[in-house]
Amino acid sequence: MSMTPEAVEQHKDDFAVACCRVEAGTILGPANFEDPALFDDLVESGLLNLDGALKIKQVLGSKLTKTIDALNAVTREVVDKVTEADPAPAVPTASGPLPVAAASPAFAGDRMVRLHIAEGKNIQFEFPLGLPVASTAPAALATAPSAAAATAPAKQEEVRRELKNLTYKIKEIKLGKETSIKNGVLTLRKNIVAEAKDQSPLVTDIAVDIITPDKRNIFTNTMMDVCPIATKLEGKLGTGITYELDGVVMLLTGTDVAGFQIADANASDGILEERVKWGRPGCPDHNDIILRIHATIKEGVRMERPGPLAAHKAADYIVQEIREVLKSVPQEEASAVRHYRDVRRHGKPRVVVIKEIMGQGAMHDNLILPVEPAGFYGGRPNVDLGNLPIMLTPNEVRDGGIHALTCITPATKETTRHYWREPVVTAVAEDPEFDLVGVIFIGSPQANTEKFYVSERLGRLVESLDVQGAIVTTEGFGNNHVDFGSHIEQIGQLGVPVVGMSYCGVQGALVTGNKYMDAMIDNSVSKDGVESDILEENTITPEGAAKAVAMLKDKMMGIPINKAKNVWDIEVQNENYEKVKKSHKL
Amino acid sequence: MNAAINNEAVPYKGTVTAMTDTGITVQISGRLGILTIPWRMVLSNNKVEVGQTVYFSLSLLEVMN
Repeated sequence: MSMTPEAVEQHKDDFAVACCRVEAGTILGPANFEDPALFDDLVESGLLNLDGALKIKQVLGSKLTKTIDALNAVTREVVDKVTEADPAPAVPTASGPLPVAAASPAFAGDRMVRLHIAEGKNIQFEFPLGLPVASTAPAALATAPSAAAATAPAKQEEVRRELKNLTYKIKEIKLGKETSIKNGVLTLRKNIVAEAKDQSPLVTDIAVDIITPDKRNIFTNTMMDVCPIATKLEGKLGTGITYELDGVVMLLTGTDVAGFQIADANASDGILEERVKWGRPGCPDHNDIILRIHATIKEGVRMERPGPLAAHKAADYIVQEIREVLKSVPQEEASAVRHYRDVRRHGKPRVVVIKEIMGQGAMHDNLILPVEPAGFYGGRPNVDLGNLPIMLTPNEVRDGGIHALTCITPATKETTRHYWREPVVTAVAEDPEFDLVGVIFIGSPQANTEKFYVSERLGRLVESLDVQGAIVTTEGFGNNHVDFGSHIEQIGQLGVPVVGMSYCGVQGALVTGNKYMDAMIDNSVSKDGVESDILEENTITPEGAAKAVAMLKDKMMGIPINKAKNVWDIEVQNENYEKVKKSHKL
Repeated sequence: MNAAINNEAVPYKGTVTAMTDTGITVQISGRLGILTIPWRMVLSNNKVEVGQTVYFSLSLLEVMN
């Protein structure tokens, strides 16, 4: 298949390969070249060898000195001249280039903006002042070149909201007569389980037990959520003071009366020790004591919306009693204090984080902005809100603004604790080179017509925000990739650099694609790229977030991002992280 | 598996027989079985209804141990 002149212009940095037999003496033109999009498959199947191949732009217009057959690379030996137009090619050589998230070394030290305009009038250039387009060093977004710095307005940090997070260290949990928190010991009232059961007619039984780190070799039913225990002392979510129990998490599990796991599709039941990726943002940490609440619900409702919701409601009743007691613990007894700030960094590139959450119904749902941190009451399900985009501040996210009805595909779904410690929000909010305008949550409806409806609203919302960069993440995999791709397209069409993050691997390979999906981070870490049923194994990690931030900076600075391999390979992710670690001094 | 087997996904057809809040059940054509999967794994332009035909690709199951 030969190429058109337009295609050649687009692919001038790709390798020149003859599409058909070309006789000696031919002046090479667009019609002689094979479409580079096919190269990966051709190389893989052994039909094509790119050793010594020249770029299309190097041989365009050269005369062939030797006849070559179809699918042979054009090398120095067969052409009369090679045009060395660009002395610093940004595209790596043929010998196994990997997608690079970090700055390409070819750009190091190159601090020039090169603009060449052959002809034209009424040309206007606009550069964001905080974005040094001239520099390509990885840490350069902060250190603007002197020329730009001289004209830039004074750096302004505006703290919009402050959140004080106090933590109280729990060393032991026991069941007793009444709920109390004293000297690092949390005592939970034994007979609370009967009251919790009465919270919903769909709940037939509630059982509570305490799992210490040394006793994890036990059976667990499917894990429906991992939830921090925290309460507001002052203010609403995202402001004021939050008191959190440290060293303890609530784990909700569930079955129906007949013994079936709630939502028995990719359930995470099994031996607890093996079913959890300990230490992931949405999982218990290695030393956490687990307060396990098991809900048994009526037969026939485990696959319907009210069933799983009832289990969450009953569990929250128990957690709420702990919250009420925690409110009265003196603040002086806190073991640590953290300050979260919603900072606007005026003059820095404006960036938005978009988190696609499940909204297909039942436990594919999330409660947005409950009254208590990570609580149940007051939270509005995104399904009921039509899955439309909703803006939260970074502090609202970090203060438990999302209560996740986590259930299906445990390895890729995000639990409530995941949002509490969301790595991308943290990475972007804390990055001094970004001005994070907010975090948008958007649900993923079932039918495609609804998916595109909400996606277009996201496009208009992002347009109105005038951002210069965006990161789009999604949990799970499957039909939510349809809207995930559409979100990226909506943002890409605005000319806004966008990076996508999702679990893909082999099993969750994207079902859609568009030209804006060129900067993607895969969350899959399982060796074979298949859903592992281990809680949170293939979700966003701080390492993945660092890669996304690096990739976004590269894209915003115009550094090309290498094409992904056409076959999934875990090594790409590992190598990229090593590069990011090195270049960004993590 | 020792023998080299080319077990690629091949097309199947089925009929939607039941729906819940969490997913759908499909009777695979030719009485080949029943498939129950979550909504997330279903691609459709509009709301799904019982009786609709579905297409999917599936390889044979290879037993690992």
